[in-house]
Amino acid sequence: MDQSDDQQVIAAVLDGNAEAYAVLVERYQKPIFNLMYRMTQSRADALDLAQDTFIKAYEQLHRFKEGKKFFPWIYTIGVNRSKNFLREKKLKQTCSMEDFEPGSGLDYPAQHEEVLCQRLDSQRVGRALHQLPMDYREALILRYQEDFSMEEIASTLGLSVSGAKMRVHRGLARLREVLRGIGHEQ
Amino acid sequence: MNNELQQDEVLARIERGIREAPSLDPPDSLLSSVMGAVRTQKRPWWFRALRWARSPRSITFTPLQLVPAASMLVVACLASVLYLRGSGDAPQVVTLSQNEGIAVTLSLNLPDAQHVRVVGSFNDWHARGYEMHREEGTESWTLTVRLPKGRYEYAFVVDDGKIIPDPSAGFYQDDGFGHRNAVLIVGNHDETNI
Repeated sequence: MDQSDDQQVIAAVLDGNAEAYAVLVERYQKPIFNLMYRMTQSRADALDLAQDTFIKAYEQLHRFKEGKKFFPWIYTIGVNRSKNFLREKKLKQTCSMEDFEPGSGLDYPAQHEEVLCQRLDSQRVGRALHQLPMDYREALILRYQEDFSMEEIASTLGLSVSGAKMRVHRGLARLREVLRGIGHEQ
Repeated sequence: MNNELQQDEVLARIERGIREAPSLDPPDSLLSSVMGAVRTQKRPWWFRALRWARSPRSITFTPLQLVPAASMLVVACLASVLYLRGSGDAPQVVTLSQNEGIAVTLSLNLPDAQHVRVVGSFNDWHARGYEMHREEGTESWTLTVRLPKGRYEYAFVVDDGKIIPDPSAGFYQDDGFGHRNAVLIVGNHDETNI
C-alpha cells in the first residue's frame, strides 16, 4: 500500500474532507474485519468491532503521527478494541498459551516431516491458526499476511523487537504442533 | 542433512499456508455504516483553525491578473507621498502645553488703542485667544506666548481691524499683498523681548 497516498488522504480528512476517509476504510476494511472475526468467531461482532475501530481511528486521527504508517496504527486500535470486547464479554480465547508445551518445534523426528508436508494446504493452516493463542496468531498474521516488519509487529502488539521475533518464532513452532495434532485426529 | 532440508520445506510451506490462509470479505454495510457515522462528526474549531494556519498555501496568478493589484499599489504609494507632502505645506497652528516652547513677549506702545490682538504664522493668522493686555500705569500692550524654535511672521490687529507690523521688529517680510509682516526668530534665549 502506498504510504504517501495514505498520508495525503489523512491530510485531506484532517482538512475537513470527511468523504476522503472512505478511501482508508475501503483499503483496510478486510484485514480489520478479519482480525475481529478471528478474535470473536462471530461475523456480527466482527462487523460491530470493525466499525468501532474505524470510527475511533477517525476521531483520533489528529493524534496520528505524520510520517508513520497508517495500517499498523489502526491495527493497534483494532487489537485493543477487540481485547476490551473479549474482556467485557468474558469470552475465553480458543486456547491459552499455557496449553502448549514450550519448545522450538523444529526438533521433532524426521519421520513426521513427510506426513506434515502433505497436510499443509492453506485451509488446514487457516484452521490451525484459529487454534493458536491470540498473541501467537496475530504475530504470524501480521508477519506473513500483512508483511509487517518486526518493528511494526512490536509496536502493534506492545512488545520489544526481540519479543516480536520470539513471538513469531514460537508461533511457528506452535502452529507446527497444532498441524501435527490435526493430523493425528484425522 | 536430509532432515534439515525437510524442516526448511515444512517451514516454507507453513509460511506460505499462512499467507494464503482463507479470509473473509467484509460485509458491504461496513463502509456505509462507518461513513454514515463520521460524516456527522466535526473536528473542533480550534483544531481546524490551527491546521489552516499551519498549512502552507500557494497563490498562482497570470501577469494580467497582477495588473490591477500593481495599479492599486502604485496609486496607494502616490497617495501616501502626496499626503505627506501636503501635510508638510499645510499651515500649522502651534499648540503647546504650558511648559513647552520658549516664552516670547510681544509688546506694542499704542496708548490710544482700545483692543490689540496678534496674528502670525504661529497661530495660522487667527487672532482669537491672542488678545494683548495693557498693564496698569503703562501705555504698552503686551502678550507672552510660548513658541518652539523657528522663524515666524506676525502683525498686530488694532481696534477695527487695522493691521500694523511690529514697529520694534528687527526684520520684516513682504506679505505679497503690499504689506509687511514682522519677522520673529525664536532662538535659545529663554525670554526674548521684541
